[in-house]
Amino acid sequence: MSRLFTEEFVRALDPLRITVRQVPGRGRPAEHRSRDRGSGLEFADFRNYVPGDDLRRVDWNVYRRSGRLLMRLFEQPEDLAVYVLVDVSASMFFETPPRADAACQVAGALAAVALNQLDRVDVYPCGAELGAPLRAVRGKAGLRDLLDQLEALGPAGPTGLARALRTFGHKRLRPGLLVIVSDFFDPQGVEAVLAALRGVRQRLLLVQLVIPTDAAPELSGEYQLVDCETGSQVDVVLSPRVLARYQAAYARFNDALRGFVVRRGAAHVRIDAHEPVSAQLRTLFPNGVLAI
Amino acid sequence: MAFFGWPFWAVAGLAATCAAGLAVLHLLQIRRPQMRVVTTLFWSLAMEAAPARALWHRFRHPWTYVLLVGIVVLLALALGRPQLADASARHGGAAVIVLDAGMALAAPLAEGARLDAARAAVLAEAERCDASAGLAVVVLDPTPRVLLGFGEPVCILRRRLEAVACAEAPADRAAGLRLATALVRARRGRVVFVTDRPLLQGGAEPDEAVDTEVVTVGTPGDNAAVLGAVFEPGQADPLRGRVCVQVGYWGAGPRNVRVQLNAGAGLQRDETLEMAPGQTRTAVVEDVPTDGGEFVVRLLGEDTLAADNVGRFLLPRRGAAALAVVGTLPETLRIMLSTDPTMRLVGPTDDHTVMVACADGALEEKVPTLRIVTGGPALAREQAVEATADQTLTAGLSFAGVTYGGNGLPAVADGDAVLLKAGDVALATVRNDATVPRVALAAGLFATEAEISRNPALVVLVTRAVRVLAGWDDGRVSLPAQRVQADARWLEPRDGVKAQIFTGGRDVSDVSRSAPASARGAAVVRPGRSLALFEWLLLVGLGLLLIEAVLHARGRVV
Repeated sequence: MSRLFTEEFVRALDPLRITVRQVPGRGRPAEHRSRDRGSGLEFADFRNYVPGDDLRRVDWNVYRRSGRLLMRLFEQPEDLAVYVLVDVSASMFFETPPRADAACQVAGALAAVALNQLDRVDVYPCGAELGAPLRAVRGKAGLRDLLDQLEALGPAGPTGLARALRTFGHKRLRPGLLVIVSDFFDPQGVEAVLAALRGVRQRLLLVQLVIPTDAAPELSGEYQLVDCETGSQVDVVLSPRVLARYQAAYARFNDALRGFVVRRGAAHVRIDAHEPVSAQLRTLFPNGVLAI
Repeated sequence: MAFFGWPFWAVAGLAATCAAGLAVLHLLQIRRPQMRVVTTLFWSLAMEAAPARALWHRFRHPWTYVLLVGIVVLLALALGRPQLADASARHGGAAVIVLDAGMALAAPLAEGARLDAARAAVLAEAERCDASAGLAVVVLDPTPRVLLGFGEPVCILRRRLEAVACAEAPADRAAGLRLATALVRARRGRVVFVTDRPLLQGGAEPDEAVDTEVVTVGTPGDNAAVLGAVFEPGQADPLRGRVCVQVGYWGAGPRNVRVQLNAGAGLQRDETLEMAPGQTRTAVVEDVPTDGGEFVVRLLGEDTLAADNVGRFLLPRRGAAALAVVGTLPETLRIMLSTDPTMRLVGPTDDHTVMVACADGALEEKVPTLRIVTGGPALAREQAVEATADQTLTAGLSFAGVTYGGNGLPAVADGDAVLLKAGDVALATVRNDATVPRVALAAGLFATEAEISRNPALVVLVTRAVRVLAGWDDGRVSLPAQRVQADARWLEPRDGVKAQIFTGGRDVSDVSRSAPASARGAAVVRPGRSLALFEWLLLVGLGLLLIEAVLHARGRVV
């Protein structure tokens, strides 16, 4: 029995769907409308008959009326390329329970939804840099394998989200949906992450993993805070003024993310890593559908 | 090297103590508990200065930064050696400060001596002067010399002043004023004279073309002093005479000064002199022998300074002059010489100072000689005897009515002066310009039948001649002083003339005698000094630096 991905968790994902208005062509047959024309059930268009075409596709009603031989074209539903970039840097494994559990659950859940609708899913773990993708075969057999791989992920070094995104942006991948599951706490700052995101041509879904103490640290007194990844130290005297400045800095961080999402037209959701993920994910799917 | 007047070792010890204390504080500094967090990104931003949203935020700094800025400002100000702005005290233009370091400045005050107050006055004047316009300091100890020249840094003045000690004689204030005036005239500056009395006393008059300011130190007080003594040989017996002691007094009003004069083992004179301020009087002791003994003068009674109330002098040591007789003297002359208590006839081989010779022929004259000469030309008849008026030996002698008809001197040698003559014949001559003085007398002067041989003037002439030949001076003799300092207020009592001690403006009360080189001035008591402004700034800056270091050592993040 998987610790993160129970049967109940996976079963709850079955009715969920990810929809896009149109996927780029040259994909595999699946469920999303595409620019390609094929043997789908939805009528798409007519074209003139060309010798050699399948006569079963000739619209005889139009021939009877007009004497013209026209071919009936049908839509070709294809798959959506879903890329899931899951942050498994050391900081994601720091707390108890670690945010990496929620990240893996979110990544697994979205991958399961995509695989259920025959979409292509590539999961990229990233830590200091972009890792090798965890490819899954299509279907439920591939899902289980993918979920097992996700659960087996361990700390992959310090956070290098901006760097990983730049690397991802340089890849010549089929346009699709990029889901980034992270806390976005890159030591280079949120501006570096957003600058790297501007170089990514995919549709974006940002899943921000948070915990309540991110916004309201439960600290008082004087401490020497040590970064769990970089080891950098900051002497703090937790006065109300300092706490207020911290909260202001955190708010600016969130404002920057939200501002980018709005300008880009991307999707953004905040998941509390200390709360059950499946219930929060349902809010991402109103009426069971996530429309990108 | 000194720092604020403290020796280097004291400053180094204080710095080492402070450093040790700071090291202990550092070891005991508050060590905050460490806490690992998922990220310090937002904490770093929180601890940095917040973006300036309002204008006043731009000027908000941690207190330690303000402290450091304040320290740097204070240290920079201190290096500039600022002066307190005092329009009335600041003097522009060049200035020459003259410090009177004569004997009178050694007078003790309530704290220290007058010289200490004078030093402080010089330093205060130097602080007030505009050093950039030129400042020089002249010291009179007792003759003027430049202590600090124009162009030399003023910071070395204090050290040089501390090396100045009181002279053993009154300062030559007139010469000092002339030097200072000459130095400052070309620069159109002014002279500041630091002394214990007004300038006009003692003959020092400032130049009207130069602005001269007098700063007086010390407070007046009654003081009587033994100034000096002279010995006056007796006319009849030069081996005895009288001692005249000069006593001076200065004070607020008249005073009776009791003087005791002691010679040998006994009290010679005890008298009380009624003295007015600034007056000098003489106390006399008669019939004092010239035995070289000690003569002590004491002034009794209380006055400001007791050091000058005792004077020890040495009487001249004189005995009868030894006259070596060569040849056979005329009897009259022999009697004349042997009855004179200042003369003693000895043989030609005995120690002698004068030779009395009555011999024909050449005679080697190695000592002053009284020569009785025979065989000179005879006078044709009795001639009137004349004495030469311009000679010291015949001064005041009258041979009026005295005639002589015997032999005179054979000839008057070159360089000899005629003392007596009868007609054209010289009877007595003197030779002063030679290495060995000589007086020649015609032997006929002492012939028993000659009238002149019984004349008192001849006796006086012979006596004078012998005494002159013996080197005697019948003038006043200044007695050397041997003062002994018996005043307990002096720090180092020792023999010899001490630096002198007079209060108020009274030149006549200054002892004008130089002391043996071994007897220098008394040790100077250094008065306390206040800190200059730049030193205060430096201290405050260092204090703030220490506070900031303590805060930092305590690990306090302000």
